[in-house]
This record gives sequence, structure tokens and C-alpha cells, in this order.
Amino acid sequence: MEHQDREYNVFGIQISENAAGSLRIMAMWAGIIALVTVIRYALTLLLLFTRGGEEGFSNANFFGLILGILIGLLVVIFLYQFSKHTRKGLDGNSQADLNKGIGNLKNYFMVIGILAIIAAVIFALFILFYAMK
Amino acid sequence: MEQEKNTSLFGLGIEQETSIILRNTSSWARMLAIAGFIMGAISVFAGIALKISLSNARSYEGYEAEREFQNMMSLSGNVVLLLYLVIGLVIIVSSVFALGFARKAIAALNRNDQSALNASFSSLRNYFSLWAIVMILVLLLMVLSFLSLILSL
Repeated sequence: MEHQDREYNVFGIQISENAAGSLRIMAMWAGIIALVTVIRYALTLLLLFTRGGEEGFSNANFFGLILGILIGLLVVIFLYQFSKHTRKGLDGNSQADLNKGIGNLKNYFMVIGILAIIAAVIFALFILFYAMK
Repeated sequence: MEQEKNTSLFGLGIEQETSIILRNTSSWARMLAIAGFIMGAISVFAGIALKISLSNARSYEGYEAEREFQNMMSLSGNVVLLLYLVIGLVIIVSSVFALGFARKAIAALNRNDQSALNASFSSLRNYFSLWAIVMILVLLLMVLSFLSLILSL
């Protein structure tokens, strides 16, 4: 009964003009973040291939950087997909596209969340290691 | 024309599938916010620790060299502290927005609250705006350093 009520309630919420405005703006910013990140990675690679050899860039650093860029690109893909599908959903009044957009937002938060947890643990261990030293 | 656009918006809603995805998104956003708070706090503490360690550095090469070295280290310590504080602040503020989105979206879905849904999207909009501005600033700094590298060749 409660479940049924909740289902009914959920259908009562609409994407109002206000919510759609926010969604449109966040889709725009997400697109900009994706674009800026790709340009940043391209610049990093350009710097790496033009000056990397001169400054004694080790193989471990190189593979670390490439791995970082690949993970970053995965995040960028989710952000771009969120931006694209959300705008498409709002412009074409398509519920399926809107769901796809929000689904990609979930993937973005999932990847970023896992990365943030890993980074926080590494930072904490690093500090603990130096504090004990 | 504008009216047509407004009317078409009412066709979109939070249906069952959307609500499930939105709930999952909120859970991950909450997780990200908690990790963000921890990282922000670590960043602030790391900045303070680095500042203290740089301020206490000694050169042991005579009185004059020692004074000059200490001044340089003190300045470096201030720059590092400022950098880490800014990084920590950006992470903490973005985590506040992410947590705001997560809390309000769950409240909207549980209570069928339209205004909470609007507020949750508004928090998420602020989250993306903040990161977009930070990313643009970082890109500008990168372009400037790239240009200075090219000019120095």
C-alpha cells in the first residue's frame, strides 16, 4: 500500500519550468567542463611530447599520466552524455532522453565518488606515514 | 512560441524509472560530498603543515644566508598555504552543493515535494557552475604557462 502510494506520489512531481531551467544551465556547464577538460588533456599531452624528454620524464610518470587521462576521459564521456541527453530530453520533451541524461549523471557521480574515496584514503595514509616518521 | 515551450515541459516528470536513477544519483552525490569534506579538510591541514615545516627550515650557512633563506621559505610557505586553502575551500564548497542536491532530491522523492526537487536541481546547477569556472581558470593558467614556455624557447 505504502509502495503504491509512493509510486503515485512520484508521478506527481513534474519537471517544472524552474527545474528545467536549472537542468538546462547545468547541462550547459557540464558540456563546458567536458570541453575544457579535453583541451586541458590535449595541452598536457602536447607539453609532454614537446618537453617531456628534456625534463627526464620517467616511464612510471608517463604511464601514471596516461592512466589519469584515460580515467579523466571516462568522466568526461559521462559528463558529455549527461549534457547531450538532458538538453535533447528538454528540447524534444523526451522522457527517455531525460532518463538517459540523469543516468549518465549517476555514472559521473559514481566514478568521481569512487576516485574521491580512493584519493582521500591515499592522502590519509600518506599523512599517517609522515606523522609516524 | 514561449508558451508552447512551457506547455511541452509539463510532459516531463519524475516517473518510476527516473525516480530510481535520481535516488542512485543522490546516494553517489552524498558519497562524493562526504569524501569531498574529508579531502577538503586534509587539504587545509596539509597546507598548514607545509607552511609550518617550510617556516622552520634552516640553512646552516651563516647568519646572512640563514636570514635570506628563512625569508624565502616563509614566503614559499605562505604561497603554499594559500594554494592549499583555495583548493580545500573549492572542494568543501562543491561538496556542500553536492550534499544539498542529495538531501533535497531524496526529500523531494520521499515527500513528493516539487519545491525540494527544484531546490535540488538548483544546488546541482551551482555545483557544475563552480567546477566549470574552476576548470576554465585552470585552463587559462595552463595556456599562460604553455605560452611562456613557447616564448622562452
